Amino acid sequence: MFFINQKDAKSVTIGGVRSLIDFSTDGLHVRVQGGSIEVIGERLKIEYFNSSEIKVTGKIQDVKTNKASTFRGDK
Amino acid sequence: MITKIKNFLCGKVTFHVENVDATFLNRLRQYSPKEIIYTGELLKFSVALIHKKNVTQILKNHTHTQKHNANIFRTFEFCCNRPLLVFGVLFCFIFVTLLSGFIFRIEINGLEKDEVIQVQSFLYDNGIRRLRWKHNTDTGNLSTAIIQNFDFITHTNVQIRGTTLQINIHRTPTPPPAPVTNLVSLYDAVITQITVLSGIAQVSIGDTVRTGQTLVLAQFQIGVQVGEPDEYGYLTYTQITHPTTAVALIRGKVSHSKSTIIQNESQRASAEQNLFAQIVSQLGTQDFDEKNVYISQLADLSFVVEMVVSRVVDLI
Repeated sequence: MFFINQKDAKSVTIGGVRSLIDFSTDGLHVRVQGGSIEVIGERLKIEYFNSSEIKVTGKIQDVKTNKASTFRGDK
Repeated sequence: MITKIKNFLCGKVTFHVENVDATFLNRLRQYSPKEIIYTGELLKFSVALIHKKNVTQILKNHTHTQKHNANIFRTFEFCCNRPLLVFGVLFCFIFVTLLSGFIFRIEINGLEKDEVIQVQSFLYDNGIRRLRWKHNTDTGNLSTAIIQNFDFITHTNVQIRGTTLQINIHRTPTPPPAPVTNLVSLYDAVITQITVLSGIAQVSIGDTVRTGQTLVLAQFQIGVQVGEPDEYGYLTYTQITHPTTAVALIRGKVSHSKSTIIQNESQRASAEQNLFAQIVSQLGTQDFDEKNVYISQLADLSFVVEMVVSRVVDLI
């Protein structure tokens, strides 16, 4: 499974990441177990990325999920 | 959207980078890396082929391999990086394409020089001229119009080759001129009758003609007005000669003579008979219009008997 942990509009942490599909300053698209998640924002940067988790910082405007159930909250 | 189309058309290049941190991706984010897989030791990602040069520059201090998958799109990448060149080539192509739509040359084959000028004048009057839009030129109708307008043309082949309008013309074969032959005399004779229906008589009644002499010229003359009437209103004409077929009825008196020598006048009758028989056997006829016998005495008292037989025959 995956998780999305977003405390504020400046960072978001996504767990259960399989791979990054797309990454640019205004968007991040990751493939997770069960679907994919799209982060939309501005000046996005990867804070860290390991085998199962990625933390993205920047001005985050929206986090969209596709074909995956959503779980938001503290890890 | 345009960027996505451009990236798609340019293909992609995949990089395998060893021993880099995942945050290294932040340096590449302006090139929109895709299909990113990070295993801690190896970072794999793909970027559009158009960004290959820039990404390679960033990765120059890192151990990496790259693999591009779409050579077919490298031309597009080349074009994307040189918009002025592409625009220039495109402009030239459109310019040449537009120019090739016009007729620059009209070529007429199969005619004499003066006839070519006639055909050129006809084409000009019908709007077929240089710098005409060739797609508005109906070659079939043009071919028909040329044939209908010129009697000496039996077949035309009109085609447009590139920017040349090519007209191949086949003439009507010119009939050979009718043989023009003068009427000549078949005998030595004296003209007794002459009636010329066509041609110009060269002899008149009473003239003596030789065998082969021209009696009637196969020509006729017409008077053509030259210039304007003078101050008194008189016109000036000149004679122009044209060939024709000579037709005439010409008869003449043809004489045949034989002579012999006799010793005394008592032999004259038999001599005349012999001479007449010789003439008849030579000519094969006894139909004569006139027969004259001339006798003259020689110095040794012998006689010369000459018989002249005349008949009127057609001389031509």
